[in-house]
Amino acid sequence: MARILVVVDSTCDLPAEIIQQYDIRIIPTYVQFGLESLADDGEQLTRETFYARLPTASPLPTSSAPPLGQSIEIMEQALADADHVIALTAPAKLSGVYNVFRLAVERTDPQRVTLIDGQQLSMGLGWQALIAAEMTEEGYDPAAIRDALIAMQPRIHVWAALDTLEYVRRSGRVGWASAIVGEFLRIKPIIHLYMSDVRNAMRVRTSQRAFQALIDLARNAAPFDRLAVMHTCNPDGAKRLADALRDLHPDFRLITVEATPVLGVHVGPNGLGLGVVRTG
Amino acid sequence: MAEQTSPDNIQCDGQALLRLAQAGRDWLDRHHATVNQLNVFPVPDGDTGTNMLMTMRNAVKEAAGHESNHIGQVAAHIAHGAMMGSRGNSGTILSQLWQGFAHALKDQPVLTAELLVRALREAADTAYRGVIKPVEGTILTVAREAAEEGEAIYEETQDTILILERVITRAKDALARTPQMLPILQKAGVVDSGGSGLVYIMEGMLRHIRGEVIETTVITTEHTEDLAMTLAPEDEEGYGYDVQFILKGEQPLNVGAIRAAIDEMGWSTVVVGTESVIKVHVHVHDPGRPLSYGVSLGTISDIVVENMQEQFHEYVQERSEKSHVAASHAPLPELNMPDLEEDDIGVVSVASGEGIARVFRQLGATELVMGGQTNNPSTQEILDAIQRVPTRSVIMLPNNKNIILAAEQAARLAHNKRVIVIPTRSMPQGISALLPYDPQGDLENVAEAMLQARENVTTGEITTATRSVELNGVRVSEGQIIGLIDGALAVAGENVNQVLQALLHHMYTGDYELVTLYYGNNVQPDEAEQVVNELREMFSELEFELVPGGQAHYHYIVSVE
Repeated sequence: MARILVVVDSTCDLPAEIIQQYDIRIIPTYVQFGLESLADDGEQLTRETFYARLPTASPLPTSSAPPLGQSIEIMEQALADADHVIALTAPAKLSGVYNVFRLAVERTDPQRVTLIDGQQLSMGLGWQALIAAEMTEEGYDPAAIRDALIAMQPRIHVWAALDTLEYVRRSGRVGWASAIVGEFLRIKPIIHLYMSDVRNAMRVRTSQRAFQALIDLARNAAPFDRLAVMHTCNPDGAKRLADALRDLHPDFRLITVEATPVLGVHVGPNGLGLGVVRTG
Repeated sequence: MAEQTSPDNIQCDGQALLRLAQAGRDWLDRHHATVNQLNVFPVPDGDTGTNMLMTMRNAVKEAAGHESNHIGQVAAHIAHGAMMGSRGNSGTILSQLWQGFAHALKDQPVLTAELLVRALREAADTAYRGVIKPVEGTILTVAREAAEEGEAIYEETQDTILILERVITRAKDALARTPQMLPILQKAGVVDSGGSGLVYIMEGMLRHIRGEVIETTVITTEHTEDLAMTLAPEDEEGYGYDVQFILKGEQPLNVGAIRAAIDEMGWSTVVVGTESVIKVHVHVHDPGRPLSYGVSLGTISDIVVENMQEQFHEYVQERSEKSHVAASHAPLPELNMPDLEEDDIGVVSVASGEGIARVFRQLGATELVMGGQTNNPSTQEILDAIQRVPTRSVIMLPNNKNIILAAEQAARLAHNKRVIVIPTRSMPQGISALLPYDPQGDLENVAEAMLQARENVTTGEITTATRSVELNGVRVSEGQIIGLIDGALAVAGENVNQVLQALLHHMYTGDYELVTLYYGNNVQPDEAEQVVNELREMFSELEFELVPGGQAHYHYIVSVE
């Protein structure tokens, strides 16, 4: 049987044990504190140090697509270790990662790589990588995996309750957030990432209401094939949210992850989120 | 430090190319903050300069680690280093430029005019292939026009330095025209950031050839705040002034000639227009020069002269400010809400006080009617506002119990629109109702969500009693300060701050998280700050937010949620 490996960028938020179990290859994206550029690989920059630094970082950090050279190296290694690669990325519409992957594929072996715009971030992308990896173990061929993922994408949603508008506004990726140039009233937005678009799903002013809004959104979208709870330095909130949603998701493991620093750059601390694959 | 190089050097070997790349890197290093500042496309996240600099640094580092004097090999090392060090979109494109450039020089020991021209062409072509959808008005345009200029001038001369000079002049010209090609740049009043990064790199090279000094900032600190503050100014004379004006000619104007003349005076030139009217934008050290020049050709108007040194420092400060700036000190910028389509939902809201009006605008209210408790707007005023909204569906927020009837009346009279009145009874209720507003949503659903959200706050109001009365067991004499909870009299006293504290004690149940205080036009900001600080101590588990409401008659309007 042909061996297939999954290569995905670090915005997928998959927990280390899953990455290891399925030998998923991660291409790190980068966080920049001014001119200090750190790979989001859990080594140059750990979640711990990142979130400890974030509140006092000045100016705020930015994120960037990885070096093409590094992407080529990781792609080459994956191609040396397998017959075929399924490569998944953050939305091409929101990030330069897809283009870097595209160039890396061109310069390695386009015949042996299936490149897919994941159209999602965090566990919205992570679930696709994991499902692709599971399918390779079940013996599906690359075309079948690609078709399955593309068919599944319209069922994938990510909601994130942000503690403040500030980070997502500065990230420059969300038109409606930058439209509000002077924040006269502090707002906690709940954003909805769906098929490469970031929309404002809800605005609330207290964390209690944000929490409740996530639960309501989840209950309206249930049932799920997969459900993950994400957070940015808010483990207690994540645990409470996971507990509150456990009944929606009895059959599968509910994954709780802390979002990777590159995403933390855009959502800020104390965020809570959901990454789901709705039942088709 | 500057390295004096005789012009002939660059014609021959790989080490000369390396020195050029170093000079390009250093000049970009000095200007990368400016490039960051220009960043509005494709993603306005202010890191283009940083990403290009990262890429150039690694390119030079890689090439410097090899001893070769063979230009093809050095170029290949530069390209490899750029590829290994590239960050972000602009870095990726820059690495592709180097890759194309190096490919053309492959197997060549020295640079010739012909090779230079070919390398520029291949650089541009490779960069175009490096993006999924090439967009004009970007670094790609600058690279392509540079290549075209190289090819054109090669017909006239084979002097590499002359070619390079002309290429760079054309690159700057292309950069200045990027706003005409990419509307988002025009709107933001900037040239393309990636293109400007490329021009800085090329300019650095040219300065090196001419033996001009390129000092780099040595970065020893991790804090870019400090970095930004220590950044060298535009050149030895400082940042200069940003000058803009509109020129109306008495005689037909020659746009090209004027652009050339203005460009001689400064940098970042943008001159656009027609024979009769021209818009001029230029950065200069002496703002008098372009203005006098303009007057010599016709009449000038809409003159803007800004000190860029100040702007730069303001910008740095703004970028480094933390997120929780007290709203009361925020400047009052124009709100740039997205335009509504006819099928969207619009919102008309009553607002009392300028500050409260701004909050409604921030949250997306399309039209406002000023008014409140003592000056209820008329049905006609509300109807007019509803008619001004460009959408067919309109949600109306009266925000006062005495205005609900007029609002409903206006809704019935607006025959050509579907109007739903959410019976909000206070400003805080209106603000809370507006939170779930989604202009692109379904009218019934949005109205339902807004109706529910209205109930999420309890409203408190502090005002002066206009007559003596006993209500709800509270005795009040005229002129006393009274506190109301959801419109019902709750406390009375002699002192605003005491009544406010008593009111919060009445309202507080333990379930609450956030108190927003809108202070009126009869309260001084520092007084309000002091009050809120006392309240923070008293209710340590609550979060307080102070907003200048600017309302009349009410010292404070309070929302608790």
